[in-house]
Order: sequence, then structure tokens, then C-alpha cells
Amino acid sequence: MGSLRLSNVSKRFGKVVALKNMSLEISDGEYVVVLGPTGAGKTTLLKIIAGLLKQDTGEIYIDGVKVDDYPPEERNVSLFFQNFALFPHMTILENVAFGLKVRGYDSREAENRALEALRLMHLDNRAYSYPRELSGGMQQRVALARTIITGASILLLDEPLSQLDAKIKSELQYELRDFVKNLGLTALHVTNDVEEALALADRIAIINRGEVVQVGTPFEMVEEPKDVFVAGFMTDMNLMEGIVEEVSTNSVIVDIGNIKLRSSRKGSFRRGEMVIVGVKSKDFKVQKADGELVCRIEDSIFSFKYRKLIVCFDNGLRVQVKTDKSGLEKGAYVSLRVDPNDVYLFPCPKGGLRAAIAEITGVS
Amino acid sequence: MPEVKLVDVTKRFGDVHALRGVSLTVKDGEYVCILGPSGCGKSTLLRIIAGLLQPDSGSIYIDGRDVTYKPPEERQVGFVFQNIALFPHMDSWSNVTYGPVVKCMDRDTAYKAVRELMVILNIAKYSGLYPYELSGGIAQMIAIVRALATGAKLLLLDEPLGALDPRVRVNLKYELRRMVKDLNLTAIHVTHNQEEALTVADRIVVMRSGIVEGFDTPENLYWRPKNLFIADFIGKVNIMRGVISRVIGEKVLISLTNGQLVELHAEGFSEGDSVVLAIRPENFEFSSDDVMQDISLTGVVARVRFMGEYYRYDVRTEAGETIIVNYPVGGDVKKLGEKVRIWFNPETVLIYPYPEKGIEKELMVEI
Amino acid sequence: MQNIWKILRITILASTFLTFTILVLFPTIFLASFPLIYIDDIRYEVFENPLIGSENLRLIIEVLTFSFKLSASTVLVDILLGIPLAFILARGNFPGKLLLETLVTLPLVMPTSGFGFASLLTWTTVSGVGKWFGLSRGILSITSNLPFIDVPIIIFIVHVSLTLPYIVRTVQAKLVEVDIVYEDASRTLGATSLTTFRKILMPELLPAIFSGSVLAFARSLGETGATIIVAGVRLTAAVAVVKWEFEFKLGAAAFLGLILVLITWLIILPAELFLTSAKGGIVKPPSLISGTIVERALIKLEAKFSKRIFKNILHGVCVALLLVLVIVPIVVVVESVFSYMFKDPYTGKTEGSVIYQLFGPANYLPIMLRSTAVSFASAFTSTYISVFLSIPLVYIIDRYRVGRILRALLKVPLVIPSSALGLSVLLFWGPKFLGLLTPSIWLIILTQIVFSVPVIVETTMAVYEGSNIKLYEDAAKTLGANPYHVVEKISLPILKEGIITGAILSFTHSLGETGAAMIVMGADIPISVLVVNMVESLAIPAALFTSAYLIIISTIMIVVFRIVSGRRRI
Repeated sequence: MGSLRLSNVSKRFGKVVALKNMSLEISDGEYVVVLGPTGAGKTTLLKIIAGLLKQDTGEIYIDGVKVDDYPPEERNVSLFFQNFALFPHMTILENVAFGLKVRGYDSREAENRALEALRLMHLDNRAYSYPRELSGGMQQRVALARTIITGASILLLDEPLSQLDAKIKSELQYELRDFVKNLGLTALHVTNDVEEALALADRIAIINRGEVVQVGTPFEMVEEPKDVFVAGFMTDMNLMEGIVEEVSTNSVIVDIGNIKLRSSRKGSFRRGEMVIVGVKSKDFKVQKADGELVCRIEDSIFSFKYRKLIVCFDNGLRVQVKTDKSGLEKGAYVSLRVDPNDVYLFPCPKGGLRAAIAEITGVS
Repeated sequence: MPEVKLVDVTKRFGDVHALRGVSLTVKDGEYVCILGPSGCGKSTLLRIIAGLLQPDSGSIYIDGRDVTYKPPEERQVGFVFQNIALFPHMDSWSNVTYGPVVKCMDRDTAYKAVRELMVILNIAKYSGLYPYELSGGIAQMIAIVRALATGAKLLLLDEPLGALDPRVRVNLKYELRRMVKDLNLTAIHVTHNQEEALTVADRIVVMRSGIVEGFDTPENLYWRPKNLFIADFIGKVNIMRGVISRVIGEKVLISLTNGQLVELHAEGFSEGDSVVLAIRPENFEFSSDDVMQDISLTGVVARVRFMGEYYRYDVRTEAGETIIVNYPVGGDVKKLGEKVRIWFNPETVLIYPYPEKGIEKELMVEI
Repeated sequence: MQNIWKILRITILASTFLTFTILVLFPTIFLASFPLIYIDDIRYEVFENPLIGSENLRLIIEVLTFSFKLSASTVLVDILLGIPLAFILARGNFPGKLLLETLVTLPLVMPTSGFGFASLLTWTTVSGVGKWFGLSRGILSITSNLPFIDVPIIIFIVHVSLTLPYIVRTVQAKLVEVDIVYEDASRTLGATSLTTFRKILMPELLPAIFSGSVLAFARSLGETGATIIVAGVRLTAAVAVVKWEFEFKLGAAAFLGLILVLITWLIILPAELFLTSAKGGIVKPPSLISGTIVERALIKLEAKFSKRIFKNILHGVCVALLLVLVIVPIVVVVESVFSYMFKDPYTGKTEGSVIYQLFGPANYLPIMLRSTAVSFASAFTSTYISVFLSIPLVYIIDRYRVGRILRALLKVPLVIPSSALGLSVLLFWGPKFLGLLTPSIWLIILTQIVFSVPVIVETTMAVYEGSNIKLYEDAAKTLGANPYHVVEKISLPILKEGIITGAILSFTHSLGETGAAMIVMGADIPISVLVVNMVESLAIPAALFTSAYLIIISTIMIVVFRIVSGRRRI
């Protein structure tokens, strides 16, 4: 059993607000990924749940029991540390078996289980090495194995795949999910990598500046982002500032510096209101130049099966377009089409688009 | 204008062979990525080009000049480090002007050039800040300007985006490429990230265990990879085994392990050869039952993940193999446990002789 | 369950704190009571002596000036010699590096009186280097002075050898910490190695050089064991404290001791402030010449001298000097023991032989054995107690607010002259205040605890801070370990290295300490003091044998230590 509930948890470090009234509910056996830029409060969240930090206000319930006064070892959680925290004086096997041993397992049984977890991480042949003899990626996998098999039913994973080579990571993430699911564990996994979140999560929670912005399934997060921040974080959407020119019953026309786009997505906007328009690069369709939405191809970048075109309109607006059409040369003029259903509109945040993008990329 | 030529460069660290005879030529104005798993020797190679390491044997030519034994300060290269390495006790401006100062360059011209570069890259406003006050992305831009401030036309980048947030990485890699092209630089960029290499590079060097496995354009590495390792390393491949049962002119007839026959364009094979077929996950299609394609496999969906722009399906075939299929969002969504029929266009199949060491060995990132 | 752990923890920490206060803290700060207790003596002896007036005051000023000149010139040479050595050790990678590192550390663990005697023998007598050059005397006279500053060369040489490790070790530690990537960056930007050193490394190293210098200065100011042997008629301040105490000029001794302590504090305190304020932030040294013509000329000059050959010459000279200063005396003293074994090699008399003095009528052997027993028993006991006191102290320092003050206070016994410290301990426990103990082995042990605890706390703290131990403890907790498991399986094994290092350092320190021991020993003479006594009673062959014996013991200790600490830091 391992359900987890946070109710209005807040935490400050001096003047810095790390968490602000955070509420989150995770049911038994669920895999939830918390996604957010550096400094969003992700690590603090995990440390509070693990009992290594104390929240200022709010409560934490594990399996319906309030655990605010429980020390870490009695909370039934297991934390993966971002910097691994492998015990330097123990072998890999001893490290992985540590949790089981201190929880009273027979040492032979503990080591057998540890070996099994190491096998999953493709590291069973390094069981008797010491942490310092392993590369960063390997150490990370050892730490992951150690976290998973402690016998705790809730896993708290702090960027557990960040040090891995892209190639290893792209496969290991699916295996990790299967392993956690097969053991029936609950996981709260923190990362800033969107692909990782999509590959792993039952639900994704996006947080920013210590607050939950949106929670939903991967599909909901990508297809129905609530605001510019979520859209910019989850997708490669082209984001543009525009002004609502016309509002009718089921569509809105927006003017982006003389480029008009029609959106038929839900949302209430007033005429003359400043909005942010979002179009995913795959939703632009490239056609022969025919007078509408004409632009010039500035660069054409290889993108696996596709090409990513960087196109520039007369008014200086630059967007990215993903296409599988070939023979589109640099410098050529083309026209773009987009289905009104694929044109997202978001209320303009304070500080405009620039501030929103700065927030997404963590630049301040 | 710099051209970099390496001839048979080797380097050992104790028992570890970091480089085993690397030769390659980077043309003037080219953006080259060195791509490989960690420990393949790619950073060692870059440090040898910069003069931070001495090769055990072999020579390095920059612009036709033999620089093998020249110290780094005499090589006219700009080097960008993974952990950014801005001098912590200097503000941004002192950092970027460090090169001109220690090289005793003419102040006015050098400073003017630096200032212009900072304006172009939109980072002039950070001049007065210290490194610890900068976010990772900005700090790395400052470090790039610092590397270029002495007028270096050869830019060496060692995992320049490695220390940054994934979101920042996406933005910065486009800017990096644009800057290199706009300023007419030659760039050599080391990374372990396939996607990064494919987006920024004109040509990519694929390295494994101190050896150059391939050196080609992104398109060629993706569509016509020279060997199975590269095929799998640059984007994933599904692998099927088969035997050539007949050679018909430029085509061969292959009998797969599940008994199916496939006709493909291929040369250089003879009857009875063991081969492997490699098919990328994005080159599979689902077919409805009534239309029969040439080659189709039936199986059960064993895993479904929504990946943003596509669904990733793991299809367990009747023969017990798992085929990964990446299918764009938009069509029908298959459900877990659903019976499906998948097919692929023979044009998209890559075919290689069965590797002597076995498939697993062939694909290993470390030898 | 939780409550039991809590009570246990509080009990351990509270009892540690109490013991620490009584054994270490009170005796240390008791120094401050000098002028109160001795106020009349001081007035009588120093200022208003009816016979000699303020002659003693004049003497005090004279020894202080001398000590200052000595310590300042010592530190200057330490810096010049120490930085290249630190560089070789931190950045170099060559066979024999471990040996060189051990060599640099050797003076730290060697009993200073033994080393002092060896140096005296080597440089100023015919048995030393003079013999090798066919001279009939030493290559130095005991009265040869350095030009301008009027400091005897032999004292100067000994002080440089004994204090060099402080600079080398602190700078080396900092250099290891500074990522080499900054040097790489500077080189690729076109700076030569010397320019890189000046512009990139110096700002990072300044605090380390500074704190190393402060340590070396304090050490030189307080050095007693070796100085007393090589000083001849000259008195340094620290030696004067001991001498006057023997001559029952307690008032003058106490007054001088207090001044020494105050001076040490005046140097240490601003240094501490400077360093703690710079920590975390960055030291930004003002660059006065940045961008000027002077700098351009400097850069050109640096480029000329950045050639590899100059670097090699500099390194070679530094290593050679180190070898001469440290190894030659050891070789000479061991060799002399053999040549003096059965007869005096110069007069041919058997009365002048090692054997005669040990077993003959002078019968030094039983005295030596007893002294050895005193030394080992006291060093072992004090180290043993200090270890148990230090481990919980490290936790107190890290976890509680009072810790920072404690840590600063713990620096006191490390830097003040040991003779002053001995005096303080004697005053605290002795008849003048508590009246519990008279000078004896027990007082030696109590004195040694006062400076052993800081040594062990410092080394353990270094590991504690360097190893991120809090992270490991947190990890163990979230893996389900209870507090007992955490301490037994995680904290102690990780801290082990620091504790052992500290224990060995404090053991050798206790074994070799002379200044304080001379004051508190009473009739229980430890071996380090015995050497001094032998030299003063001109029993040279016995002194030779004892010095060699001490040096060999400490060399064995450092080898054992190297094996235990797995070739890492010292």
C-alpha cells in the first residue's frame, strides 16, 4: 500500500519561497512525474515528503496517516538522491542491499534481491566494485536499484536519469516504469526533461515557483495545456503575441502583426485583447506559395524522418515548421496552412511573451 | 581560415586506449559534431586538437600548419567547456576580455569586436554581472564570446549544452548553429546526444572506443548508415534476422526467421548469407486486415506510451520478438492487448551481413 | 522508540560537552587570568624591580623583536619555497610523488627537539656536512647571522623546515580543490602558464596562502623544542617563557606568555574574519595594474619565463632545498650514531661513545627507557581520551549554533605557543588555582589532551565536510536505517579516515612536544625533553642516540600512517 497526499504544504528558506500551498494526491501504484524548470522547488518537495526537511505549514499523509512527526526511516518511503549518495565505503552490492538489511532481512536474501535489481540495471557484473570505480551513469543506475528495492512502497526519485547517455536513457526509462509497476510501487519522480516525463508518467504535474500549475495525463498536458507556461514547457509550440481582432460564436481571429490566424478552440476572449497564440511546428502544413501566409525558408534542419524549417514572414516573425516534404530549399518561398482547431490561444501573462519564455527556460 | 586535419592520432591513459589511430579532416567553415557514448575518447580528441593534451603519436594540422607540439596558447582556438568555466572572480566583461588582455591585443579594436558580438547575441546587458549571478544558458553564451574574443575562427565545444536544463538546451542549440554560420567559423562540437548532433552539424563523426566508426552528413547517417552500430546509435532500429535465399539481379530474396520472404534492393550478397534487417520504428505502418501488404507481421500491443508527437507501441509478434513502432499522433490509437498487423516499406529497410561477433556485441557502446 | 534515541543522543552530547569544557576549554581560556593572578609578581619583576629596574621589560622587548624578525623571515621563505612545492604535489604526476609528499609532512610528526639536534649537528659541527667537504668544522658557525636582520642562520633553517609543511599543505589542498578547467580555459585563451598563475590561480590561492602563513607564523613564534637546542645564547620569546619559568621568574614568564598569546590572537582573529567572510563569496583582489603598459610588459616577461626549462629549474631547486633541509640532518644523525657507537671518532676516547654513555657510569639507558615509557603512556592516554571526546564534538560543531564559536576556540590551543599553553594548564590544575595536581605525568596528559582534541576535531571535520556525510546519513535514513545503524554503518566508517589521521597526528605531536612538557612534567621527563637535557648537559653521544631513536620512531609512524590512510591526505 502506498498512497500519498499533500495538503497545502508550504516551505520557505529565508526570503525564498520554495513551496507555496502545494496540494497533490497520488494513489496507490500510480507513477506521477513532477516536471519543472531548475529552481521550481522539486527537490525540496521530495525532501519534505521523505522527512529530511520539515514543512512550514500543511500536512502530509501516507496511506491516510498523517506522517508529519515521523522520522524518515518510519515513513515507508525511499528517496533517490540527485547526487546518488552511494556509500563510498561499501561495494555496489552492499549499497543496494543496505535498505533490506537494516529493515531486518536475512543477509543472503537481501543480497539475492539486490542482485536482481542490479541485473535490471545491467550492472550485475559490477556487484563487487566500489562506487568510485564506476562512471557517473553507472553510479546513477546503482542508486536507482538501491532506491527501488528497499521494501518501501513509495519511491521518491530526484532526477534519477539525468546523468545517463541519451542512448541508454531512451531505453532504460521504459524498463524503469515496467519494473516499478511490476513491483506494485507508487512513484513520485522529479525531472526537468519532458521526454522522460512522457515515457514514464501516469500523470504529470507541472510546477513553477513552488506552485502546481497543471496536473493531468501526458495526453492532456500536451493537447490541452492550461497556459503559456505549460504549453511552452511540454511542447515545441511556436508562441506569438497577437491581438484578438474578431470574436464569433465558434472562432476567434487573431492578428499577429498583419498575419491573421483563425482559432476555433474553446476559450473566452474579448476583441482587442492581447493574447498568446500557439501553434505546434507539426501542425503547420507547407504548401506552394499562394498568397496566404507566405514566408521564406531561412534554414532547413535535419530532424530524423522529418525536416525542421525555420521560416520567416515579411513582418520579421520567425516560426518553426516540421515537415516530411522534401525538396524545400533554403531561400524558397512557401505558404503555410493551419487547421483552426490546432491554433491555441492563451491569455497573455504579466510581462508578456518574453517574460513567459524566460520563465520556461529558467533565465532571469 | 581554419581547416583541421588529424593524422593517425593515438592516446593512451595507462592501460586505457582513449584513441586508436584517429584520422579525419574538418573543412573550413564546417560544423562538425563528434558523437559517441561516454568514454569513447571524443573529449580526449577535442583536448588534443586544442593542445590541452599531447597525443602519444600522430600529428595535428590547423590550417596546414603542424601544431602537434605547440602549446594551447599558440593555436588560435576557442574552447568552450561543459561546466562553463567562467573565471569566478571576474565579471562577465573581464571574462570576455581576458583573451585580448593576456594576448596584448590592440585594446580598441578587440574590445569593439567583443562588444559587437555581445550585442548580436543579446547578452550585452550581463556585462557587469559575476558568473554566480548568471543562469546556465547565459553563462555559456558568455563563455562562447570569451572563446571567440581573441579572433579565433576555430571553435571547439566540449559538451557545451551538457550542463544546461533540457529546455534551455533546445533553444541554445539553434542559436549556436546560427552563430557559427553567421560568423563564418569552423566548429567542432563534442556530444553524446544524438538529437543535438543531428540538428547542429553539417557532418557527424561517430566514435566508439577510440575509433571513428563513421563520418558523414546527418542524412546519410540516418538513411544510409554504414554499419549496424551506426544505424542503431543514430535513432533506434528494430532488428530481424534472415538468410538470403535467392539473388535476382539487383534484388535479393530474404527469408526471415519467421518464415516470411522479403524482396529487397541490395548488392554484394550471395545465396545462403546470413543477414540482419534493420527497420526504424518510425518506418512501420499499421494496416487494416483486408488490405494485404507485401510484408506484414501480426502481433499484440504489449505497451503503449504517448510521446507527444507520436505513440510508441511495443508490438509482440507471433514469433516472440518485440518490434517498436513509433506512430504519429492523429490516427487511431491502438490499445494495450489489441491484435495489430504492421508492415513496412521495403525501401526503408537497411540490410547488413550478420555481424561476426553477434548482434549484441556489435551494438555495444563499449568494446 | 524515538524518545529513547533522543534521550540517548542528548546524554552523549551533553556529557561530551561537559568533559570538553573542563578538560579543554577552561585550561585554554585560563590564559586570560595571567595578569590577575600574577599582577604583583609582574609589577615587581617587570616594571619596578628594586634592583634592576625595568631591565626585564627591556629583555622582553628584545626577545619579542627577535622572535618577530625570525618568524616573519621564516614565513617569507616558506611562501617562496612552499608554493612551487604545493604545485608539484597538486598538479604533478610522477613516480616518487608519494615519497615527496611524505617528506614534506615529516617535520610535522618529527619530535622537534630531535630534529633540532640533528640540524645543529649537521650544519654547525664537524660531524655534519662539514666533514663531507673536508672541513674541520661545520659549514656554519652557530653565530653566523643572516645579513640585515641579525638572525642566526641555524635557527632560521630549522624554523623554515619545521613550518614549511603548513604552507605546502594548505596551498596544496586548495590547488587540488580548484578545478583544472580554469587553467585550461586560460591557456586556450592565449595566456602562458605564468600569466595564468598570476591572473587565474593567485586570486583563488590567496586565502590559502594567507591562512597557511598565519599558521606557519604562529608555529614559528611558539616553537620551543628545536629552538632551545639550536639557539645558543639567543632567546626567542617562546624559549624565554620556559627558561624564566625554570628560573622562577614566574611573573616575567607569565607576562611574556600573555603578550605572545595576545599577539597570536591579533594575527589569527583578523585572518579568521577575512577568511570566513570570503568563504562562499569570492575574493576579488584589486588588480592595480590591469590593462596598463606595466601589465603588458609583465605579460611579455612572463611569456619568456613560461618555457618548460624554467619551470623545471624552479621545481628542481625547491625539491633539492627540501631534501637538504629535511633528509640531510636525518642521514647525518643516523650516521653519527654509528660512528660514535664504540668511541668518539675524533678523540678516540671510549668515554665519548654511545655505548659508554648508555651503559657506563652515566647510565643513560634506564633514564631513556623510563622517558620512553612516560612519553608513550602519556601520548597514548591523551590520544585515546581525545578521540572519544572529538567524535561527538564534531557533531556538536556541525549541528548546533554554538559550534562555530567552539570551533574558533579550538584554534587557540593549535596556534598559541605551547610553552604558554603549558603554563596555563599548570596554573589551572596546579596549586595556584584548583590545587588538584602538581607537575607530573598526569599534568602532561591533561596538557596533551588540550592540543590533541583540536587536532582530531580538525582532521575529522575536514573529512566530515569533504565527504558530504549528511547526505549519506539522510540516504541511510530514507532507506530505513535507525539512528544506531546510521552511526555504526555509515558515519563512523566514513569518518574513520579522519579520526585515524587525527589520532596519529596527535599521538606524534604528543610524543614530540617539548615546550609545554618542560613546564608541566615535574619529575616525569618525556623523551623529547630528555634530548634537550642531554644536549644541555653536553652528553652528545646520548643525545645523538636518542634523537636518532626518536626520528626513526616518527618515520615508522608516518609510514604506518600512510598505509592506514591509503595514500590520501595527511
